[in-house]
Amino acid sequence: MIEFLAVLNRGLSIVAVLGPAVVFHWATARGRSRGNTFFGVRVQPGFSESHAGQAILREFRWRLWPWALAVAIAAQFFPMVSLASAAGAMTNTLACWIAFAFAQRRTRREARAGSEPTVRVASLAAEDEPETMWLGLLDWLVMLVPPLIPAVTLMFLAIHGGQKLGGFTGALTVFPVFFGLILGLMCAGNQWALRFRARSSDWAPTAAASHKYRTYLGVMQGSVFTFITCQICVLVLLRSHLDMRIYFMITFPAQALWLLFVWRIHFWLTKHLATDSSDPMSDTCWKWGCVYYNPSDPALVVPFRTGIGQSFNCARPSVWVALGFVTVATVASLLQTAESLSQLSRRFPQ
Amino acid sequence: MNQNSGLASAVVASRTRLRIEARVKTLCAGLALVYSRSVHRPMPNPAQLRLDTASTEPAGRQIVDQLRTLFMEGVLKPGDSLPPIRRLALDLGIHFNTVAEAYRALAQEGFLEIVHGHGARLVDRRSVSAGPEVRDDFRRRLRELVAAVRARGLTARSVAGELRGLAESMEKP
Repeated sequence: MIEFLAVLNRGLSIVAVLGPAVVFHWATARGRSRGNTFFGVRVQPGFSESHAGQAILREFRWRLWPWALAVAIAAQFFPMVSLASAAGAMTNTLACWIAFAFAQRRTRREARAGSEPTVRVASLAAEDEPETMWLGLLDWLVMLVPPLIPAVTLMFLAIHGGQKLGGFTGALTVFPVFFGLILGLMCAGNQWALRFRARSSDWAPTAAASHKYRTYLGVMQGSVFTFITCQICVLVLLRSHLDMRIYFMITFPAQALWLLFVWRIHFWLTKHLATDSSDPMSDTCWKWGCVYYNPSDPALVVPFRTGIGQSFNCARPSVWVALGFVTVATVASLLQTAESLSQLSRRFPQ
Repeated sequence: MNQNSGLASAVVASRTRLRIEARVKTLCAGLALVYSRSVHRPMPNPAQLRLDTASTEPAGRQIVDQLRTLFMEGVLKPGDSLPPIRRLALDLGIHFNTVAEAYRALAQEGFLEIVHGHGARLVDRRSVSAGPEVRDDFRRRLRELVAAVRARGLTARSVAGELRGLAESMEKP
């Protein structure tokens, strides 16, 4: 039984590593770009169906898949499945963005630029976006729950296992939860920006639809981080007396349910993707096709021009601070965990 | 003595009851306010602001001119609220200070009342008696505008028709 579960775990890790390539393949398919854009560039109508457009798309996919498969195979040779799948997924995400940036550069070179909108419209209605109790509840849940789970775990560890938290074994206990806290804070910040610092007209034609779309997008992304954080916290809290067979028997159905939930929201987001609305800003605001940089725009978060997702406005100082904090804290927690693991292996070579 | 203490306790009880009633009333009013804010919403103002990014005119000037026009044409009425500075700046993709400056300029002209934390509200502007310099300025700018549009190909008849239509719409009650 446990062997079967281990094989299943390996299978899930392959899915996680190949995930970014699947998402990028899906996002670049026809009808999933906003406005008249192709790889994030405004083009003349019909370019995506032309020979040149199809050649760019083919080249992009040829760059995407061999690399993704090579990383997925390489990840299978690492002994720690969770670490290998996380590193593989991150490597593949980076590779996908690099391939996307190359495709965007070629599109800029080969396509005739489409006209940029010169008029921006704002409603003079005094009221903000319509607020329903359901959406408000979801917004606040996603802002509060992801950071609260690791924060409560840390408090519990501090109260009940204070003496055990010293030394390298303590660091091994605390730093994964600390990493979970960073993920939670990132998730809360993302939801706050989507709720309060996003331009309504970028996401959907009406204010009500825009609010709903942004909330559901945040819920989908928040559920990913919350799921990872929950797994980290459960493993840390029950590490000493946890039967892995029971753990797998609980987590596999939970993962299946969670994947179903994410798939359902993703389906809804795809159905309501406003492909006829394009962002009013210039093409030059998009660096490498994925990073939005516009110092004169007060919006902190804008939707990608291709597929589902969003970019932070990297010209805003608050985004610098948040990204800097996340980077420093992530690197610190990873370094500390690696140092503790090396000490552990030195002290107990077997 | 007993009668006095009984009276005093009755007064205390009555005060306590009044205090509790006042608190319940405040709570009910608060809940009603929350409910009205979450469920009942006033009809949105259909007016829109358009910002032309290709124009040579600064964004702040465009906002001031359009809001003034909407107010003078009666689309916006005294008592109407304008969107908060932050939201308007987000929607137009311009800096908060640009919108704040435009609102301040309109407040100086007497169109707006800015209440900190509560946004901006249009006020009933008292009739201002125009001096001769206003009329001269208007005549000069009108002549410049007419010359500019005629230079771009609009006929004198069309210009006259437009001015006549504008005058007629202004004279309507």
